[in-house]
Amino acid sequence: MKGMTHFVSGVAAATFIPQVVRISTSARFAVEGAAGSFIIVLAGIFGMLPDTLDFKFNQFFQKPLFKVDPEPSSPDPAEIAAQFARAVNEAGRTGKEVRIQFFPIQLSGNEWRQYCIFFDKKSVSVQVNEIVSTSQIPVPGTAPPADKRSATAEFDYELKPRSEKVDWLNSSVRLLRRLIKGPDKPGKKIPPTTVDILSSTMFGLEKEPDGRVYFNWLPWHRTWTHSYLLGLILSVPVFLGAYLLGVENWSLYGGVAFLGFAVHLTEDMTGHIGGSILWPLMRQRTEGLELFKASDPRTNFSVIYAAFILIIFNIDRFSTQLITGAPESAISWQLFLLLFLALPLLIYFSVMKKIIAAVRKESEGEPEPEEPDGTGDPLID
Amino acid sequence: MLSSYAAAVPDAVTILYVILGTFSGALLCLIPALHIYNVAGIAMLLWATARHLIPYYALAPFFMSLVVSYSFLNTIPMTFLGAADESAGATLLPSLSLVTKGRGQDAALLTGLGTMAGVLVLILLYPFFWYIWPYIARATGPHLHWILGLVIAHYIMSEWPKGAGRGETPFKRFREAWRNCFAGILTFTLAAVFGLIYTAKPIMPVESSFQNIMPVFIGFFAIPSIIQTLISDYRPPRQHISRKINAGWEDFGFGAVPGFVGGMLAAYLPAVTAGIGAMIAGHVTNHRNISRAEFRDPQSPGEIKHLHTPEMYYRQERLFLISGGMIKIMYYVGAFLMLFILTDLTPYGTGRGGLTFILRPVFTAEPGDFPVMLGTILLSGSLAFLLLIVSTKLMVCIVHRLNLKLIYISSLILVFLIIYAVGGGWAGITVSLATTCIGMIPVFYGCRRSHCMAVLLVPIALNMAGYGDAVARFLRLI
Repeated sequence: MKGMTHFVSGVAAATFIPQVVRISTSARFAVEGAAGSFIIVLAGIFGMLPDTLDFKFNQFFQKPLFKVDPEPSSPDPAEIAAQFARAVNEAGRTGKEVRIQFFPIQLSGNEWRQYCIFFDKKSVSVQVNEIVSTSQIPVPGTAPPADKRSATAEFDYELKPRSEKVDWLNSSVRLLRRLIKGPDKPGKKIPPTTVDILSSTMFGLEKEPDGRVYFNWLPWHRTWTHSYLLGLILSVPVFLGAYLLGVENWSLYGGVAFLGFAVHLTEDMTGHIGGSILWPLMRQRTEGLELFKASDPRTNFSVIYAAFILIIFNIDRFSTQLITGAPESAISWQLFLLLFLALPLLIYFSVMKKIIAAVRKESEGEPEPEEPDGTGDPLID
Repeated sequence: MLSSYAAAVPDAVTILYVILGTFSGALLCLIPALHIYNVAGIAMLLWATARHLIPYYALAPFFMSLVVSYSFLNTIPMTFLGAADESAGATLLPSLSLVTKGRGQDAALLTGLGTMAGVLVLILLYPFFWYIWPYIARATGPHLHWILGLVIAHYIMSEWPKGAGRGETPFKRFREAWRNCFAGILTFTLAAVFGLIYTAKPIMPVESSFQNIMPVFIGFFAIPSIIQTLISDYRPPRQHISRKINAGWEDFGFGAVPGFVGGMLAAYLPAVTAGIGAMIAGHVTNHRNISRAEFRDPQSPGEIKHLHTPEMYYRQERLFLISGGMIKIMYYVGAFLMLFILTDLTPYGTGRGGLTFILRPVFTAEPGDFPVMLGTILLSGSLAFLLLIVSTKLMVCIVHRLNLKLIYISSLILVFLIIYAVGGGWAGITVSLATTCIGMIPVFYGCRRSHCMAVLLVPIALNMAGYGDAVARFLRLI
């Protein structure tokens, strides 16, 4: 899910703790225990922390064996494809994990040369596209000539999208996923990748006992940074800091920080990539339940909206009690949740259903979506 | 008969002042990069010295129409001249992009239509403002300090590295990618420290205290914008004139949601501007991926597959402008309108923003004012929108012939004269030069300009939590 979704989800989770809401109430108000604390901010910060660690720090400490940084003036699709083929062969030959990084091609402040990578079992194709703006809008008439547009390279080992190295946790998640969604789709292919603006992309390639090479998309993402144990470790300084500063209810601070972190990891497990949720005990990235795509606006918006309503619901019932929570409150909590949570979400999904149907009606052909979990979205804000 | 005639006279006078306020606001927009609250402050000063100029009952409608008109017509300098105030983040980038393609008319009118949609939303949401909003305001009131803390935390954390991370060592990769993030954190920290000092140590003369934030904002936003435009040698090309606007009704549907969310945030939360509101609303409501880029059968020689860019991607520019226009009016006007929501739960209203601050010492809202204000917004908004259409047509014809350097140098001189006259004299000029230094960091390093709003966000959040004095003592400011 998106950063904002994790952020507000963490905050919403923290507001379910009555004591947290009370100490967060401004001391100017007649609420028992009111202390003007910023404790809830910790839940938001820690809710965004796993992705912050990944995208702001972890990715810059990677050491890919192959770096593909195409020449901006004349990007050569054959060379890009050949580099990937060399990386697969290297992974197959050595048996070690080989990482390959593809950089974007920036032409000016707002112009980027887009290229796509298509993966087949034993070959890779690269296609250089038009120049696009930072909003990923193509500039018509800027595609390279046909002879410099695309190229294919073959490699000696077969690529596969799912790893066969499955620990008990991964097996459990797979089992749960199959219980919820039914059997995994057979013949799953590696989706194509588009490299265009701002950030680079990286793949891990590792030969497995069956002789095939496992294609691992963004191998540095959702690894050690997405572990409940790391969340515990990172909350220790918060516990200590609050204790040493002599803050009342010091133990709540570390707990709220961990809660924000844990909510993020749990939400991520509903997506496709999952996470290394028990690192360092279990280093392998566990697959997700594949219930939603991280970039799906419906999931993100509905979670954010629900979190927003629950925040209002909680801070009111644990402090002012104007809306619900007391006999003299405006309405019952059931009516509040029905009117402001259930009903609006019902309307939202009904409207979205119609909008999506209309959008699909406009689209033609047999579309094939991009990357597995929507992280191909621009990392711009 | 006589009494109804007597009652009608103030109404006619009020309407006259609404029209006067609308035209005054429109004229004042001609000064690029000057904020409406600076102008309102000057107008307030004039009114205080000559109270017979505007009768008391017409005071609020006059200032309301001034702000409504400004919300519409500052689109002209923002779009065509690149003049940014602290709310410019809501619309500036797509506007400039369209102007450089000769489509300034689309940019200005789409923003204006968004602002007009904002007027309608403010009026249609009467039941929401009257029956639901007071509960939300009262419930969240004791928690505003941490809500502002959340805004700050998300604002800093959501600025992602813009570099791709090239370099041989982790440090080099980190440095290349983090350029904008470092600059953002530096800007935020310096602005916050400046804000803490400025609120704890009165620098400005007492007689300028009602406008003491003016030189700060001019330094953070107006002067860097002018300098940037002068350095970049910005020259808009000849603009296309068209009879239609490139947008559909559904764009207003999609744009209304972020417009409302961002507008309400900016209207209610202290120190949260339209720019910050737009950024948060963008994160909350982004529906671009409702249809994603798809691979289809090849369409041209050499293509393996055609990457189809969905209409939703193209629509983003329009949505940005429409929602930006809406956020602008909800920020400028909605914040002031909330002053008139007088209910049992909110006996003093929930008004925020510069205009509420400026008017509060001389004006008290009374029951029954709210519908008058809605009427004022509708009348002034309709007039201002017509003025915007006329001004846009005029600007489209002349913008490529304008000597922008001359305009900007004149504006710079005028801005300093205003600071000298009503913004604290030399002390005000010194303050504005100090904040200009901080405000130039985003210009050079490409981070968000609204980091400068830390000047208010941090002191306000700390003061609301009750830690303002403790922090000031810790910094040895008091």
